[in-house]
Amino acid sequence: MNINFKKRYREFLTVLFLLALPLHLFAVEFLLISPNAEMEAGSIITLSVLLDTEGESINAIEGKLLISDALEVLDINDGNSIVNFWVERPKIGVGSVSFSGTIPGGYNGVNGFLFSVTLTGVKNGGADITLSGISAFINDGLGTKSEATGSPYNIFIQEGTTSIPEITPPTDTALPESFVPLLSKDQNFFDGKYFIVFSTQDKISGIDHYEVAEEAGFMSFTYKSLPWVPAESPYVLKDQEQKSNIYIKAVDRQGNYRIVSIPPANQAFFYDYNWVFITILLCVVILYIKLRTHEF
Amino acid sequence: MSKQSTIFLLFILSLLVAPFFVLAQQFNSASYQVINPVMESGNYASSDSDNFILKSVISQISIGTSTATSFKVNAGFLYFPFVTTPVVTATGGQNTQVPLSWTASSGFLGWNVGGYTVGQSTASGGPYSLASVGNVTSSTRTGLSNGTTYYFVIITEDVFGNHIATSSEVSAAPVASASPPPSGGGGGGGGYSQVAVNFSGRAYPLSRVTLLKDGQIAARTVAGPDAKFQISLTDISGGDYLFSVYGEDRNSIRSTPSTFPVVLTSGANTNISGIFLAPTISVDKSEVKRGDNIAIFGQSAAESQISIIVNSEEEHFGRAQSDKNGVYLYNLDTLLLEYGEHSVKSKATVSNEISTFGKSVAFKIGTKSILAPEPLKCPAAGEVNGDCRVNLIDFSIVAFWYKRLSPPRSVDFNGDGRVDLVDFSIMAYYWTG
Repeated sequence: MNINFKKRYREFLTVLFLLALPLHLFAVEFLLISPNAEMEAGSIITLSVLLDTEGESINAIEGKLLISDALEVLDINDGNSIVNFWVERPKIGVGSVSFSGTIPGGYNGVNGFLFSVTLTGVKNGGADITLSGISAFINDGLGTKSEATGSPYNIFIQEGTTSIPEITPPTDTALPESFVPLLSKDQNFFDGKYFIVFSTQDKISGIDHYEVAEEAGFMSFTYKSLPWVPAESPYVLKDQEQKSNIYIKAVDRQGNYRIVSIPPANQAFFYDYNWVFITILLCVVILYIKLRTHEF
Repeated sequence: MSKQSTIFLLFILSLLVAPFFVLAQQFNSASYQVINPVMESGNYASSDSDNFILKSVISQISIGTSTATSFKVNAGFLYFPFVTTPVVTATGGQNTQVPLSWTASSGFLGWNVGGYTVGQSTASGGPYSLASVGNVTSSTRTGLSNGTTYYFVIITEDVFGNHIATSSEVSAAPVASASPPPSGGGGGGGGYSQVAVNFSGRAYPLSRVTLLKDGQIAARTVAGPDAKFQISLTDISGGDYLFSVYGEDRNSIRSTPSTFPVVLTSGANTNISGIFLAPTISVDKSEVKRGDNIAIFGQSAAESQISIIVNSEEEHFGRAQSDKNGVYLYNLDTLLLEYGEHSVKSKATVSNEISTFGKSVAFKIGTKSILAPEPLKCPAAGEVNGDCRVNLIDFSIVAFWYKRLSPPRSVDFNGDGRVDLVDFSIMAYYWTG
């Protein structure tokens, strides 16, 4: 009787497995990849989060990386990510890393790099990294959610040092990608004030931060002296009269930077210094009259 | 295993397998009966002689066609199997190597992609030496001579190894290993290897073509009278990029974007060829009285063959030829269609290159005819600030409302009362840059 039950149970499991197969075949997969599954405490390991769209075109993703307390996140790199615009950029948090972003036009491929986390072991033994709340949306204009799966990654931490290691950033001599900032104004947002938006990528080390400077007068070529302030997109302009040149600096994690600018919509120089021009014009007229008088 | 167990397992297996079998239908009316029509994919039978070999003709005439001097009879149920041609990327590699990558071909109506063959030659146009690489979308060609320009095509194979599509030719020249770039870079001017990327393909005659790099406009150009365009980008560093190309037809209607991920190698130029934008499509009526004609029209490459598919309970197919301006028109007799909702889409073929399908346009078969409204020139969704574009400005405004209470209707695209990733997905679909 017991043997019969076991047989039935095995058959039942087989059927369940077969039933589950078609569901699994068409699911977008979030992959956790690392060169090592074992490490010593105090050493460093990099874990990449990749996307396999299983032939589907995906244009938005979100999720959360849950990290065991036996591991500590030292760094996150989203340079070279297939995500073009982060809604929630992956940041170092306590035991978790949340992320969500979009890919205009959609991504269809395997091993699409989302971001990587650099971890160090702080406790001996097994440590799990799991994915939670993962979603992927099909590029169909309807916001259709695709099936999404993601397997946990297990790391075994052996006895090692207890000190937190220094991380060596990747060698990066390339500037952040070129970009075009956009100026806009909308009565329903930011109290109808002018604001700028900007975004770029750095394919090696990733973007560290942006800075913005506004300065009236001629376009500056001595960027260091500009009144730079840390900024995020969207940035509401201080000079709402648009008399200033606007400079946007994208800085990567190695300190390489690219500066782009927007000329003032209203040339402040001509507005603020029009008395100078009037004086010059008067001088020219007087000089002309005097010359004519002298000639004749 | 007992008999009971075996029967139980077989029963379950038969239930699982049942959905994969398609039973032929019977079509009946008072005056005719069609029993068990059989549709076979492709014409794999080949004919050959000392002088010729005929393989797999993909066209209407291959499917049981009889001809006479004054008429043509198409026997059986018409269908138009086809496969899209790959867009190929070739990077000028280093040390006798050239990495190639390509977009996957999509087969329709009987064609299934089984793998790819790389054709390689030192002369443009071939003849090519062929190497089967399996069902992959990238391959690195090795053993090449540095400084020599090589020409490549990607040939799509069906599951039987028949060649069913060939890409445009793309060229690249491997170079000797470059010395490492000088260090520095901080301060915005450091030395690094720039990369040039060249894009070429077909849009619509004299149409505006826009290239997006990672979602932002990188370049614009105007296609020639033959619909061909070429765009070059410089000042790019090596890395993974997502490029999209879209065109705007003579009525400012945007095409479906052609999107492809590309890995650029630092210090090597890359050519991406064979981009073929799908035709635009419109209909003259939103509702058609059954039996009246509906005009299906749009723009594609000049003098291309347009295949039109009407998605109904039973699919219907039609063909049209675009004129020298790329404009096509197809009048569909709606007597063939059932009452209810239908949609239509089109693709183009020219010089053995085949585009993907473009957007679908919906219409209804009813008891009266209603003219269709003017086609939308602005994106149907995702556009917030009224500039007729979906770009970073709209993204920033929508991101401002992400997970906030009571967002305005203008940023809540699916109308569920909140701004979440669904809204961003809708916006990403309509993205114009």
